[in-house]
Amino acid sequence: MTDHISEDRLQDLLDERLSAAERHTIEEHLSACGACADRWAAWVELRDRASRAPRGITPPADWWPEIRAAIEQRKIVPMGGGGAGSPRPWWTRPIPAIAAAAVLIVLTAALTTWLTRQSSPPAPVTAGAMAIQVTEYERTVGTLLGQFEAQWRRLPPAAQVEVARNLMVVDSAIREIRTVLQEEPGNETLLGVLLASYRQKVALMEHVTQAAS
Amino acid sequence: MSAHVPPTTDSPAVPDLPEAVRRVQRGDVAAFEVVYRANVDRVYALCLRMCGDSEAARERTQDVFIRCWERIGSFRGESAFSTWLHRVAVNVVLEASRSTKRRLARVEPTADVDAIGGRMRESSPELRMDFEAAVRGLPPGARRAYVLHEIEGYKHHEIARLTGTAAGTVRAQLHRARRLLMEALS
Repeated sequence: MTDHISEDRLQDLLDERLSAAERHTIEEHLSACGACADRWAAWVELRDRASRAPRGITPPADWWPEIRAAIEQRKIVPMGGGGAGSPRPWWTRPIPAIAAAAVLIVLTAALTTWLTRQSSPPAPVTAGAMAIQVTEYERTVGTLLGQFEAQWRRLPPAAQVEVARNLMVVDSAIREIRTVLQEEPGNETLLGVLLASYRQKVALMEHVTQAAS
Repeated sequence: MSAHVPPTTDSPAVPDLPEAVRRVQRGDVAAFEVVYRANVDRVYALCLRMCGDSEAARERTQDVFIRCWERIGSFRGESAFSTWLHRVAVNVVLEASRSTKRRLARVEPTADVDAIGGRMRESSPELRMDFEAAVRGLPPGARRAYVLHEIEGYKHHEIARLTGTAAGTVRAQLHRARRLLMEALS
């Protein structure tokens, strides 16, 4: 037997990429050609070794202390949005680029809100606690989302656009602040502005939900 | 909405992983340790095989869990948490490899099947018998394709999407990886 099966064909057979007819032809050849049958057996053995490879390998050391330190020293907090598999909310889809100017307005408004609150005697709030409040707001947004979207669809088209635009602006502000916070994770002023932005977002969502119901 | 003070190490024992994940979403570092310990072997195995060296695997494993902490708010429970974390891990490793590739664009050697197979055999005879070491010795592109397909079970088109390459390229890298492994292990 001189017309041996090529390596690529054997690998295609391994990957189940051949038609039934092609597979039949190759299998017939394998049953008659010891050399090719040996090569095929080797490919199958290699595949089986991969499938037998352990799913987990224990690390050589305990890295939890380092990870924990990284999280705590950088004051990283779990935040929603933008993660693997999370679809972008509909209001973040492209809308005419009014965002740049509007973000500044929202940031200013949020900062004003924050500073106004600071002028009255505030309870001391740590960056960590504020970060947790941000997480709470994220959760609230997630809770409101379904009902909000349903109610938003009932709004007149012009109102839908206006609400979407406002949400987009607030979200842009939130993203901007988060970006800066990555550099200065302990900046309490920024965290305060971020909280104020979330308050605006939640208030808007609640307003739409309640107004349309 | 009341401020929520994040618990630290004093949190009570976490009864099960879904509850631990929910607590991590509320900022519970102690619950995150539970999540870490339940998943680190799987994440490290992926990182080690994908990166090909243990130091990079250590860095990526830590990156994965820090990313997990940062993004866990986006986990909605639509898939198993381990599936979500695995996807995060693959993305972290691939992002890092893209970054490394950009830095070493003109340095990374082009892989030659015969040369690499020969080098693996000559430099370390015991590699012939060590499947894990042989996988780690593959050139980066072939190694990623092989690990994702043969060990992690991704399909060609899924790997193509994850790595930003054509499905045909993934297939070629996979074939190449198998050829190299066959040589190294035979």
